[in-house]
Amino acid sequence: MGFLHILKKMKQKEKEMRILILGLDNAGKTTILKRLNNEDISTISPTLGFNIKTLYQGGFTLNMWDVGGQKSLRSYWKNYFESTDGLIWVVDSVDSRRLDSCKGELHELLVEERLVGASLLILANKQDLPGALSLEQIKDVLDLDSIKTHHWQIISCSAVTGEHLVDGINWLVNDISSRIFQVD
Amino acid sequence: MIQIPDSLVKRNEERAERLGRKKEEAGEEENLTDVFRETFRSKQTEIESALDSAEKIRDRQELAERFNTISKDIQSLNKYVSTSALFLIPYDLRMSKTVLQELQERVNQAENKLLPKRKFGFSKITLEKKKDEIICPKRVDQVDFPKKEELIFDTGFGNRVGEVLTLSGEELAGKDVVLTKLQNCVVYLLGSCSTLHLSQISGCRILCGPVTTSVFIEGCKNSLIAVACQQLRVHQTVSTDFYIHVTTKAIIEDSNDVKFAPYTFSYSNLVKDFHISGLDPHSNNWDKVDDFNWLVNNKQSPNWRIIEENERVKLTL
Repeated sequence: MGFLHILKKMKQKEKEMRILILGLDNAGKTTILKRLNNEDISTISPTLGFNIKTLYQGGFTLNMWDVGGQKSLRSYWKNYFESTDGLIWVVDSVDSRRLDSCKGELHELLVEERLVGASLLILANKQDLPGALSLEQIKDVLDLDSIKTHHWQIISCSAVTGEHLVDGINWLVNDISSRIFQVD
Repeated sequence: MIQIPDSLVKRNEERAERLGRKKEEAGEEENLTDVFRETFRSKQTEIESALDSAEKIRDRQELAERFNTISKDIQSLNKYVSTSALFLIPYDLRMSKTVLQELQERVNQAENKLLPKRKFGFSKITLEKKKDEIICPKRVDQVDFPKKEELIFDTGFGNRVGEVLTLSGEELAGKDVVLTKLQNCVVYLLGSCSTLHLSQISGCRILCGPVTTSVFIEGCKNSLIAVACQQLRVHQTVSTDFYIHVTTKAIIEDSNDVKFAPYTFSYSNLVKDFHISGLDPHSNNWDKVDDFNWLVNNKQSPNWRIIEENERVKLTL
């Protein structure tokens, strides 16, 4: 208890969370981050490397790490796992052809030791587009119900319109804070 | 003669009796220790021979039962040692505990060798994966594309050889267009669609109007592609020429011998379609290409180059 207690106290003092945003290429990770930060989203090109932004939400400081999703960059994802409090997995709801690989990559992440304990928010992005799959369909294809190792939640959103983005972040922040910052 | 008081005699008798009892007890103790040593040794040999003969058992079921019996035997022997601890001298106790420990280790080793068993399913899986990673780094093309051969799309063409294919503005408007498995075809997409997916194209010429969002190209060779879009992503493509208008930046991955030139394709409704797509006709980053397999700054990637002006072809209907 002693050491954990000190750790908790330290985190509590900082009120900081480290959030990792991952997903296949073209899922909309950078767009979500820029939209949350009220930045221009019309000039976003595929992320070569990563972006970091600090957001303030509900009295917490969120350090958001957005890492490029191209195949050649996915092997670098593991470099960002350390001390992650929350994972946002972004899904392109229109790209039904790649949902299988999306599922594969997600479930590969969930067995990562360094992500154990991180809250998982799945954002079904691009819901503003015609042909977007429903929340239920995505939940089925990604086999989310089999996830027992992490607290998870799926929320449909649109980075372009900004719809439900903040709801998702709120869930994530609440879930993390109830785990880490709970009053003893 | 000195008269010894009765009380003293009585005390002497009592003392003698006590001494005698003590001697008896001590004898009993020695006796008990001998019995313990003998029992322990015979049990130990029994377990050891059971363990040695286990190696000859081929049947998994039988083997599992054998190990079950052995571990039960060890457990009861352990219990015997613990209950005997009351009268055992520390040396015997220590020795027998050590023997038991060694025995248990031998059993564990034998069991791991003869009867490998998975304690945690998932840890085994991760281990295997890690091994794979070391032996052959994950092949990118295995990961990302649907294995299913089904062609599910509303708008587009698939499995065509040597044809001229055209889609008009009405057919394309706001659609997610797919072109797949085309050989030696000429394709005209004369309008503005929402997204465009090209896969497994060879020897084709694809001329396309402005695409509202992104164009995804995978597995193309010896082709020519003209397109205007916001994002262009090119994967596993070889020897293909691109005439592009890109408002952000084009990227290539696992591709080589791909060349880029500015978008020069023109058709009657082009200006109107640019307007519909929302693309800025004045912002074209056709020559800013990121190669995800060439993460070196300030050095041109060997996988792509610009098509020199004298090499460029004229693109018309």
